[in-house]
Amino acid sequence: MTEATLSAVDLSRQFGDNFAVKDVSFHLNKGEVLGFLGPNGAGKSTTMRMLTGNLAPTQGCVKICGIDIIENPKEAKALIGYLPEIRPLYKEFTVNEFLGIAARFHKVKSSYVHKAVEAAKDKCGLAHMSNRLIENLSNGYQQRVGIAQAIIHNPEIVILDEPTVGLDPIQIREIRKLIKEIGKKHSVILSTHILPEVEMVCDRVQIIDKGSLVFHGSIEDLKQHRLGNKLLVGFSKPPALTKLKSIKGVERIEKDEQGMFVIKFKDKYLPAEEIVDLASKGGWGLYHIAPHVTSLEDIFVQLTQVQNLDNQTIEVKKT
Amino acid sequence: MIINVARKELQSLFASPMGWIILALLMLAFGSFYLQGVNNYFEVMSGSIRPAERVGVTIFVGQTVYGIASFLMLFAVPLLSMGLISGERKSQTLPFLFSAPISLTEIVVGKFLGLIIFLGILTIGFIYEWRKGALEWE
Repeated sequence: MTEATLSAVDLSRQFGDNFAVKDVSFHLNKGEVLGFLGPNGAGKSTTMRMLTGNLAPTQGCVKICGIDIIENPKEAKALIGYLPEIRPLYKEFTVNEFLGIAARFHKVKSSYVHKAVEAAKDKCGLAHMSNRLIENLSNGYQQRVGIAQAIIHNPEIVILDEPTVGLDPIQIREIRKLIKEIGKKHSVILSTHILPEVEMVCDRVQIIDKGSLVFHGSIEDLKQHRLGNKLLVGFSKPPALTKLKSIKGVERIEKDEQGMFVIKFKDKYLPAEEIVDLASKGGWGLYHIAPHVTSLEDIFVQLTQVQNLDNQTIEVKKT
Repeated sequence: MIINVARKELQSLFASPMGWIILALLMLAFGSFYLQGVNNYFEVMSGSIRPAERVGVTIFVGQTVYGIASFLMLFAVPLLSMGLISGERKSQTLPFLFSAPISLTEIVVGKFLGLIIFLGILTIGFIYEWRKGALEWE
């Protein structure tokens, strides 16, 4: 299939006796947006710092387009654009000056620096901010400068660590659009702890918890996991469970804390229509029916529990 | 690459008024000691009658100016250089340098070179002196 632009093998990092990241292996295909998902302190940033050569792994190796980042850091780093969680901006410079410095640092030919700066500004919507001091820019625009800095040398891989943290909803939407745009030409790794963000932007997703990968698969797999084949139904005059169970395709029925029913059904069946039909006939007082969405926390709990049983990374298959 | 780091360092020194102020103060100090040296020269030389006691003006003034310069620089250079790396660390910009394809040596040497060039600006006056022939020791 497609060639891998980045591959990490058995990556581990120890702080004292603690494993911040343990035996993480994955790869990134060309032109793919990979979402790196996990709660705070799960080891997302540590992994990203190791991928970009900012932190030496205790064990394992990272290869960027086949180049080992520990053995040939210069060649490998030239292929990466990195935006850390805390934006590394020199606030005393103007946008133009800063991007010029970033371009020269990343070995853009001096005759081409001006062009590269203009192109990056165009992509990130910074053209009208060229001569403003970075210090005086708003949070959202500073973030754009950070992203511009990461893509200025046209890298193979762009690594963004929590790019939407601390922005307002409009800015978040714009940054997401920008990331999608970038994802068309570059491979992108994106870390976040916001699940909907991953669904919107990424092609593939990895969930990391307590330093180990607990899930990796396509976004469809995750959605499947999240949505499941479940309906959340509320009746004001609930019928007997057996009546619900007799509906075709229904597998299991649970009652939740609010007295709603979670109805799990088999693949390829959608009993919603039948439930509504029966409810109106039987006068059950149906007031709510919707797909049951498992929250991120639930998925984490599910995944970490399964992981404890197997004690290794699992590939979640479609159920 | 070293040049680029040095260039960034210079840009950064001159981006705030700090760079200009430090240069101006140093220039003021050295300038006034220079003038004082020239004044003293004439006073001392008019006192010495025998030719053997007379020394050239460059040697005399040079001693005053560079005597004080080495003392002033003893404070100025650490003040300027101590923040070069720790400052980056503090403002969280170190990852920017580390994730660029530059080696650690290049970063350090580049920063050193940048500061040398910055302080080198103080010696620009030498070009004028040299043109006027004031640097002839014979």
